[in-house]
Amino acid sequence: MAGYIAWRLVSAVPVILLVTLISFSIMSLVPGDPAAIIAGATATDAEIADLRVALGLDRPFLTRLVHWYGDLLSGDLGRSILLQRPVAEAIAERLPVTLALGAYALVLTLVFGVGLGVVAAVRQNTWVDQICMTVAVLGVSIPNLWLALLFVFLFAVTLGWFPTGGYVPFGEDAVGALVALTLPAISLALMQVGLLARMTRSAMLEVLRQDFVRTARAKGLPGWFVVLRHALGNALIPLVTVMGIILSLMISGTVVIESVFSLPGMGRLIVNAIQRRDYPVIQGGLMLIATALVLVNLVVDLLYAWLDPRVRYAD
Amino acid sequence: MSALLAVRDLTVTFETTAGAVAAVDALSFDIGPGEFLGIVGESGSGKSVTALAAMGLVVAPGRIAQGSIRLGGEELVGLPERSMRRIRGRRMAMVFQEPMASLNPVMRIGDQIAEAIRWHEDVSARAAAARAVDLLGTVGIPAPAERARAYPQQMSGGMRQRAMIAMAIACSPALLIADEPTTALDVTVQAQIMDLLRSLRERFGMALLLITHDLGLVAEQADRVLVMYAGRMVEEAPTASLFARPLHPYSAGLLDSIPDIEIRRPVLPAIEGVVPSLSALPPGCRFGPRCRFAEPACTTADPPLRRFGVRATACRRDLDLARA
Repeated sequence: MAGYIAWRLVSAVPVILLVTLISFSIMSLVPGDPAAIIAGATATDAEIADLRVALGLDRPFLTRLVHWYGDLLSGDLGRSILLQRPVAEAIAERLPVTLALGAYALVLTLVFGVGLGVVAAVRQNTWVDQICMTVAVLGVSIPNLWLALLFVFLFAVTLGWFPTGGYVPFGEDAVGALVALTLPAISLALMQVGLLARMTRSAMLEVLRQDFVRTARAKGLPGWFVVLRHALGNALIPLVTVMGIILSLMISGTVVIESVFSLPGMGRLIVNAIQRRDYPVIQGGLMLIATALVLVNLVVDLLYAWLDPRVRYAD
Repeated sequence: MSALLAVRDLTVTFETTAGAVAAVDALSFDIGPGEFLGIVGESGSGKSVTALAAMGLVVAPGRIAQGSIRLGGEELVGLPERSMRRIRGRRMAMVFQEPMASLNPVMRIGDQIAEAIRWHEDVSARAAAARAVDLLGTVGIPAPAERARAYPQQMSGGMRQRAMIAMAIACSPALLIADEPTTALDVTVQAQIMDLLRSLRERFGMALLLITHDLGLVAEQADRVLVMYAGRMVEEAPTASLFARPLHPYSAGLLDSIPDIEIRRPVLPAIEGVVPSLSALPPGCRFGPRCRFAEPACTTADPPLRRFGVRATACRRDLDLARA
């Protein structure tokens, strides 16, 4: 197992190197002169030239690349042109918001997605199954954005149960932070819940008709125990793949949700940076998201091994 | 002798698009305490369904349509799941055909045995785990403490079936049902598993219900044999009597098709034809269309099971055949 983990970690390194290379290359890949684009139509030639030096564009590509990697190793992602501060600092400030939102939405997705799927599978072809699957289809079909707006209108504006947006740091008020993040997290989770519920249902149906489920019942174990310990333990293996996809969808989902609920997270940081052509921030954000996706896939592979001894002990 | 398991008039039906078909049709039999009964028949004869019905494991679209199953006098048909659960694995246990598919691939063998003990008896996790190791030793698995930590795919087929048996006998059941326990194994391992079942039965005084398509397997060991065909019992007899003189043409056909090492035959005799579909049974005797002795009268009515002392047969020509 330790060897497997080590091997997976090592094999993630070239992927991350490639990802950082691609993020770095953006500025050289955009058509035209990035400095001129950033400076805007009204800028003078002198201003553009200054900006070019500030961005390091006056130096050759390879020199910049070496510097970029050097800076990266020391945690320096460059300076934001618009925010007038280090990119790493801006990200460090925004990242906790996105992580909190993502974690909250992930917990909701797991609890309700797996829960609905298991209940639907156990009560296959009954009204319970119908209701679970109707909720799942609605979740998948309704766009996050529209649902988020609907939630704001109903629960925040009309009923006043939740704030319409904004963020309270956990350090200041943990309950307030949870309340503020509830609507965004539900909006972000709902589509994933639908997807996961449907996958869980089919994975469970597949496992429930296996012989070892009958063996477990023949031992005199209670039905719920057979379902949760024996059936779900096996059904989780294919669901891990789905979880990887769901996490990727969530990362892109946060961009929209943070904008709707005016949460000061990574998503909004990157959207603003794109609108204003703030390349250093785009580069840093892109690298961070790509690295996160690589790590998600790494965790998925490790989860496989943890859940399935056939992977762990395969020779 | 009061029966340990008494099955009366058991009918198990399966709902199909063509209507309900009876996989087991009005079956009655007894197993005495410590007795070894073999149920023999081809695929689709209803033998496995009978075993599942006894365990209360018939699942939709199947259901027990009528009849009674009593274990030690207690009626099991219609018993609430909660009560049935306390019987399964404790007083009556089952070993299945495919040891690989029948074991949970993501749980350690020892844990799979220990959990059966923990749900039935008030023992600590540590004690249950220790007993699981002992049981693996009892069924002849070398280095049981080590094997208890293994996963099913790390064991051979024979080992897995031994582990299944250890799991089944964990709570010393009065009745062990083995459904084709050796079919998925190669011949030498088959013999070892049969020896194991026999020695465990003697050691623990369990009754054994062996379900098989292989008459040869029950020949030397079973006390009695019950032959099933298309959901019905066609013959019941003490093993020696059945082998000496079968009363039903189907049993005779099955006996003929056992290869005999003493007799060199160019072609092994087989029973012509196949088991009829349960939704399209022939008129009269269900075995009629495949029977060498069938007469026109055999197609008019399904012959009832008639008892002659310890034997029973469902053939209207049994006496002619016995004399033949």
